[in-house]
Parts: sequence; structure tokens; C-alpha cells
Amino acid sequence: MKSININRRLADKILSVFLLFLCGAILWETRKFSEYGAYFPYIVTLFLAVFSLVYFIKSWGVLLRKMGSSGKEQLELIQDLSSFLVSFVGVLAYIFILFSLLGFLVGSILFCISVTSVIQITRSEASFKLTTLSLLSSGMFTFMMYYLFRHVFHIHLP
Amino acid sequence: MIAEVVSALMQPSMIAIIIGGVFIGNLVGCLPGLTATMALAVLLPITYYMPISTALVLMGSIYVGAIRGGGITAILLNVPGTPSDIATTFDGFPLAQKGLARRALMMSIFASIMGGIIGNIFLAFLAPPLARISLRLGPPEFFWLCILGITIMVSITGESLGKGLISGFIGLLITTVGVSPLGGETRFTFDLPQLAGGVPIIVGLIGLYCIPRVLELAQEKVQEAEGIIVKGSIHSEMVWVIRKWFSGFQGIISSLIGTFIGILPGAGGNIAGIMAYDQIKRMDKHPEEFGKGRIEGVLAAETANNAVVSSSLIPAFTFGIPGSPPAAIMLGAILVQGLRPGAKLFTEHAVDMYTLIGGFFLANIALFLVMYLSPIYSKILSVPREILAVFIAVMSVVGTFAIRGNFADVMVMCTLGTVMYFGRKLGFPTAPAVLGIVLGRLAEEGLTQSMMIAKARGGLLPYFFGRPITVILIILILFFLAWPFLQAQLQKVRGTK
Amino acid sequence: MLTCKKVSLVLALVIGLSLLVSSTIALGAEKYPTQPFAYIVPFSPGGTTDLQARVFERFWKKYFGVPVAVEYVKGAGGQIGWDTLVRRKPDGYTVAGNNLPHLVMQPIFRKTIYTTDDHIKGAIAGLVSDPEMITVLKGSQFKNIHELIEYARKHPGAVTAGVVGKFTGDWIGLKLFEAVTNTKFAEVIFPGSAPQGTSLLGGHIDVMFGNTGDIITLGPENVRVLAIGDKEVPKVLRPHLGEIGGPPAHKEGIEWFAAIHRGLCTVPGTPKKRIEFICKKVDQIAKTKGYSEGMDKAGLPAYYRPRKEYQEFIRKEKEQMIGILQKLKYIEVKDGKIVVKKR
Repeated sequence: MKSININRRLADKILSVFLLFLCGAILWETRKFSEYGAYFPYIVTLFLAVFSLVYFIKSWGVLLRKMGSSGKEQLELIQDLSSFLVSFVGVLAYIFILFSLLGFLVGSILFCISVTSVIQITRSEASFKLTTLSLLSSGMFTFMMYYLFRHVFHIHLP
Repeated sequence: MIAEVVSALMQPSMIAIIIGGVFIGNLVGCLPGLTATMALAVLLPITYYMPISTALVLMGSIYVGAIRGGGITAILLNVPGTPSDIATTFDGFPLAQKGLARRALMMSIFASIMGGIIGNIFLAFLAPPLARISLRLGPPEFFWLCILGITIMVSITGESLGKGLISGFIGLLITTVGVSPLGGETRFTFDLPQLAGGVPIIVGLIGLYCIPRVLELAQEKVQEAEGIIVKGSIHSEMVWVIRKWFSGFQGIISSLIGTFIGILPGAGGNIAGIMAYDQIKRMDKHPEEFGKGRIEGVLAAETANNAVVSSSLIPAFTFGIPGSPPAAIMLGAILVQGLRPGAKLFTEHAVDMYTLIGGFFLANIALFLVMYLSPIYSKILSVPREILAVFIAVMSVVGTFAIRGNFADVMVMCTLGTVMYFGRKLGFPTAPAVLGIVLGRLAEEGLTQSMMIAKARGGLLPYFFGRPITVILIILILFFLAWPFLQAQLQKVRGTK
Repeated sequence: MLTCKKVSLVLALVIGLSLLVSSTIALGAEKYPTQPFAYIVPFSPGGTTDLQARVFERFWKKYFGVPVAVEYVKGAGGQIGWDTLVRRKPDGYTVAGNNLPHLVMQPIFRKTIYTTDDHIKGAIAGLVSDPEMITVLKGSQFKNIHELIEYARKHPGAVTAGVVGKFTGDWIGLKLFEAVTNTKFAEVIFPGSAPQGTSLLGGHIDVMFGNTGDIITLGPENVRVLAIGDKEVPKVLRPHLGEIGGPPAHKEGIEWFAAIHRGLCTVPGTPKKRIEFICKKVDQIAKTKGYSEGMDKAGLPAYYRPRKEYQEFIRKEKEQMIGILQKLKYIEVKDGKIVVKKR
């Protein structure tokens, strides 16, 4: 169980700079749009820039040094790194490889089984009961979904 | 006529259709990605072979069931099944965490029933005048209404006003991706035609709620989850909940808010729950307990969003303007059958119309039966976390893909979700961002059309800021923004005394 | 622990393989059609394109022998639906509703995957010709088209005119009307006909450029039609003529013609035999009495054009639109290439 933490102050500082930068980029981009296309993104971004500026000032402590949290507060970004990575990479692989190449049925079953069993193994929780449970439920769930979407709702699945 | 309506509704086949419809709707509603709109569209061909009244009753029952079904996942998984269930997550999920899942589910059922019945009374008796009110709202009013919705959302969810506003405005910006609805050009698509269609509301909803949940669930340990025991029996909880609903004015107020907001096309259904929630929270003696598992929160949100079901049909049947996507399909169904919306609909086809309204009443009452499914749903809480996580992941991907078979949507969904996961950890609330996506297009249309009309009518300021309804909306927005400061000042004053 | 891992891996492989095998066996039959058709509707459920699909749906099984499932792929004014269509397998099992002049205008003004030629290649039939109509509220100050023109000439840019989308049939209808009558309106663009109708009824816009369907849904008792951009009044509106007025513009001495056309097409590159088969069956359906009754009931002004005629029609429409856009100085043609000048 490895967790990743980040200093709250630091995170706020980085994010506020990023947001300001993002607003600038969007405002630059809106110049290309037609009159009617530009109004809304322009005004929304202006407001966003104002909010980000307040956030920036707060987090860098220019005006309100006392406000906000003490400098040392840690934020937990990821509680359990290995499970996070497994699930995150699993979802990505599911979307880009399994779902689009192997199709919904095979892809989903493979995805469900592999992610659940890897998580169970890394946590040393794997047991015969749990593995069968995830196997059975994954299969049933996927077939149910497939039937529902394909045959009830007539949706074109890969 | 009354005799005809009653005899039509009392046929066994009609009752079977109502019960079946409610159950189908309930299933569809609780799966994120499957929407009432989709279910109704699939059923449309079947309805040609039925008398129009039967078809409408079937569609109405599914609609009622689906809106209620969305509350189930909101309570159990913190994932709203439809955009109108966002407010249900605020207290529903904390209640489930406390072991009161059953009470929250029962409340969502009973609140839906009452909300639906009250909304229905308005549809039956006051449709034309209410529809005329909805016409008074033009582009500037819609713009301010959207901003009001986001402001209210921020004031409900945020510990930090600033982060809430940033979250909401980023949501608004996300809707500008794709072909501009009024300007005709493509924006922020990086030259990819696949992104020209923008980010559909459901994609935003699934991405922002489901993917962070998948990543969080995967990290939770099994033991943590097993601590949750579902307390109480179905019947005793139901009785408790019914008493609660009738014990104060919250229920009536929420259903009135739901009905009136629901008439407004586009905005109505999605913000009714939030508006009612906010109002009830403000009136409560313990507003600080909201968001930590207070049953009144579920009451307000669920009552209001089911009141919308009937009221979204009011403009559809009187003026041919659907208040929500499912209402659009029901409108399509009556158009194909050769019926025309308008005041005459309620006189020339009175039997069909009042059969539908009667069907709505019965469908709402049939929702009582859904409570017996509650033990099955509650089992979700004891499923191992990692299995739940992969199931939600599969459902999100298929659900997103199912909207229009666009693979780019799936990627957008996943990206939004990953960003939101970290955003949530850094204290940015999800709900304002989702509401931003839900309301963005409407806000943009309101703003830009106001500019177009104001040009012709001489002067932006009087048109955009000066109309009576806009003035009221702007005052409300300022009030909600200033509320946290006002509250702090008030407390100070009280403290010094 | 290790054994569990092995067990689960092996099981996963077995299940995966067996599924792969079973799914490949299903293919490989010569007969056509053997599976259900997909009918892509690139607009919202309940709209006119959807109603058209629903009219077909009733007869599909009887004539094709297999059912059809309507799929909604909406977004970007139809573009997402047609982009999806051209990327589908050209196996003759996918059709889509298409609309003119959308499919001519979109590829000119923005990046699309489909091209206008794709629609010509895959054309099945033209089904509907829906003229543009200049519509006002019953209580409006404009009693006839001449009053409107006179007022608009005196107060340029002061009359608000609602159209659905930019670079669409409504929009080009407005621009043509401005050009023909030498007037200037304040265009107010709406994302769909429902909000456009709301705004007209609520008095937020003065004039609406709409189609037959809009008049029917808004209720003939609420609106008045000042002019119709066609030679004749569409059949479905004739019963309401007493209520709504609605003379064809050219009978009032205004040479204004504008219309939206809807049709059916399949994936470009579909085998010729299959296209012919679909054309033949659609032709049969379109000639039944039930079909024309269904169209009338749904308020769709039917105008049937077989494949060849429809292909020619799309070509002509493209030329015409390019000509109009050049005149209005939106585009320029340089060495056979279209350059967008303003949006």
C-alpha cells in the first residue's frame, strides 16, 4: 500500500498558474471565431480568468497570507498506488485495445477478469472463492449488457 | 368521458402495461448511459400497433420509472443515473454510507410518487396557463437562469466558492467544443471531425462521475466496504418515510418548484432537483447537516425531479415544444399518429389525453411495487469493490458508445474522468462542472441570441439586464453569491451579542 | 496464491478463445438481406427526420423481409450522423436520412469526413421537399408579405428573423429573401426548431423562417404564413389554408424559392446489386397508399425522386448553392477550389 501525497499549497500554486495559462490560450484561440461563435467562450473565459486570478492570489499568498491552510498540509492524491495504476491502465487498455480490436464481448470479459484478479493478487486477497466470484459475475454481467444493448436496444457494438 | 377513461385504465392489459413500463424504466434509469430517451425511442415502433392512449400510457410509465431509477445509483454508488439526479447524490450517498441506504431508497420512491402526482395535477388542470408563462422567458432569461443554476449549485456544494465557480465555468467551456450552434464554425476541436459533435451531456455526466468512482473504488479495501450493513425492513422504512414526507411543508414546496421549473424547456428537468434541494436546505433548522446524510435532501431532490415528468409535457402538448428529450419522443409519437398539439388536443382527443394523465397517476402508484426490488439493489453494497469498479467501467464505456456510436466520445469521457479524479482530490467539486456541461449550450444560445435580438431592438443593456424577469434572476444570483459572506456576518453579529 | 493466478489466467484465455471462435462462425452467407437494417437518423428523436424514418419503419419488414432499427447519431447539424455513415461497412445494411442543403453546405464551411459526392454515390431516393415559409404570430403587425417587406426596407436590421442554424436551409432561405426583396433582417439563429418556435410564440422574434412541420406542431391556430417559397402550397397544409393564409411567394410577385429536401442514402461503396435492391424496395414502399397516408398524417410533404433523379438533384443543388454563396460573397471559387471568405 503505497500512497502518493502532495503538499496542498504547492498543488494550489501549480494549478492556479496552469489555469491562468489555459485561459490565455483559450482567449487567444477565440480570436479566430466568427462573431456569434466567439461571444460565449470569450465571456466565460474572462470570468474563469478572474476566478483563477483570485485563486492564484490566494494560493501564492500575495494578499491574504493568513487565509487558507497551513503550509504543511498534505493532500492524498492516490490512496493505493498499485490498485490505482492497475485500474487506470486497465481502463485505458480496455478502451484502446480490447474494446476497439477484440469487440465488446471478449474485450469486456478479459478486462473485468484481468483487472479484478490483478488487484486481488497484489493485495494478497486472492482466494478461490473470490476468483470464482469475479469470473462468474464478469461473464454474466458482460453477457447481460451485451444482450441489453445489442438485442433490446439495437445498438451497434464493435 | 370520465367513465371511458376509467374503463380504459382499469383493463388488466393496461395495468400490466403500466407495471411493466415502470419496471423497465426503473432498470433503464439506474444504468448510467441508458436513458429514458433511448428506451422510449426503441419502443416507438411497438406503439404504432397500439391505440394511441395505450402507447402514451406505456411511454409515460417508462418515463416515470426511469426518472426514479436514476436515484438508485445516485444513492448507492454516488453516480447519478440521469442529470436530474445530481442533487440526490448529495445526501443519498452519505446516508447509504451510514447504513441507511434502505431509508434513502424508500424516500426516493415515495418522494417520486408524490412529486409525480402533484406535477400531474398541474398537467391535468392548469396546462394552458402554465405553458403561457413558459413562453414569457426569452433568450436573456434563459441565460440568467443557467447562471443562476450554476450559482446555486456552487453555493450548495462548495466549501470553497472559488473552486466551485472554477469547476462550473470549466464545465460551461467544455460545451463550446464542437460546431458552434449559432456561429456555424468548429471550435476547439484540434481539426478532428470526430469532435465536431461536441461533448453530449450524458458523456460529460458519465465521465465526470463514473471514471473517478472507478478509480476510487479500485483503491478501497474490501474490509471498508463490508462495514456497511443495510438497516431496517422495507415496510417499516416506508412507513417512516411516508410520515416524514407529510410531517412538514418540504414535500409540497419541492413539488411546486419541480412543476414550475419543469415547464421551462431544456433547463427545467436538470435544475429542478437542485433548486428544490437548495430551497429546502435554506429553510431547514440544520442546514449544516445537509450533504452529510440528511433525509430531507433526498426528499427535496427526488420529489422535484419527478414532478418534472408531467410538467415537461405541458408545453409539449399545448404548443408542440417539448420540455425534455423524453417529452420530445412522446410528442413525436402523437404526431406520427396524426394528432396535433394545441388547445384542441385536450378537447378533441380528451379521452386519450386524460387516459395518459390517469396512466401517470397509476404509474406513480405502481412505483410502490418497485420497493420490493430494493433488497436486490442494496446487495450492490456488498459486492467486492474491485468487481464493482470494473462493472462501472464497462457500463461507462458501453453507455458512452451507445449514445451515437462515436469512439471519440469514449476517449473524451475517459479524459474528463481522469482530470476530474485529480480535481476532486484537490477540492474541486464535481457537481458544478456537470451542471456546467448540462446548461452550457443553453446558456450560450441565450447569451448570443440576446446579442442578436438586442442589436435589432436598440441597446444591449435594456434588453439583457432590464427585463423584469432578468432583474429578478440577477438579484437572486447576487444574493446566492453573497450568501456565504452574509451568513458569516450574521453569525458574527450573533456571536458578539 | 500463485495457483489462483494461474487458474484465473487459464480460465480467462479459454473463455476468450471460445468467444472468438463462435463469433467468426456466424459470418459467410450469400443471401441478402439476412440481418436487420440500421437506419441512422442524424437529428433528435421526435424531429421531422425521425418521423420520416418511422413512416418507413412500418413497411420495412413487409418489403425487405428483415426489420429495421432506427439509430440516433446526432450532433453538429447532422454532420456526426453522416460522418458515421461513411465509416460504416459498405455491406448494404446501413441507410441514413439525409438533408439538403445541409450536406452541400457543411463540407464547404468546415472539416467533415463525408463529402457531398459520398451522398451522390450512396443516394437511394429523394423523399420530401419542404418549402421555406415566412411565418409570423396570428396577432402580428404584418398582415401580408408586402407589409413586411415595406417595413423591413424602412427599418433595415430592425426586424428579427429566426432561422435554425447557420449555413442551413432556413438560413439560405433568409439570405435569398433579403437578396430578392432588397431588405435587411436581423438574423437570430436557433439550434433547433423547438426553441425557434418557442421564441416566435413568446414574441421574442418577429418572423420565423420555418417548414411545414413547424406550422403543424405550433398549431395553425397560432400562426400566420406570409409566403411560401414554392410554386404550390404543400398538400399537407391545404386543409389549414383558411386559417394560416400562405400564398406562394411568386404569386405575390416575389421570385423567392427556397426549400429543404430530405432523402435516403446508404454507405458509399456498397455493391451495386445491393443498392439496386434497396432502391427497388424503397420504390415499392413509396408507391403504396399506406405510405402516402402515413406521410400526410405525420405532416411531411412527400415528393418522391428515384435514385438517378435524386443524384442529379443533389448535383444541381450543389452548383446552385455555390452560385448563391459566391453572390453573397461568403465564398470564392479559385481554380475550381472553394475558398471561404467570411463566416
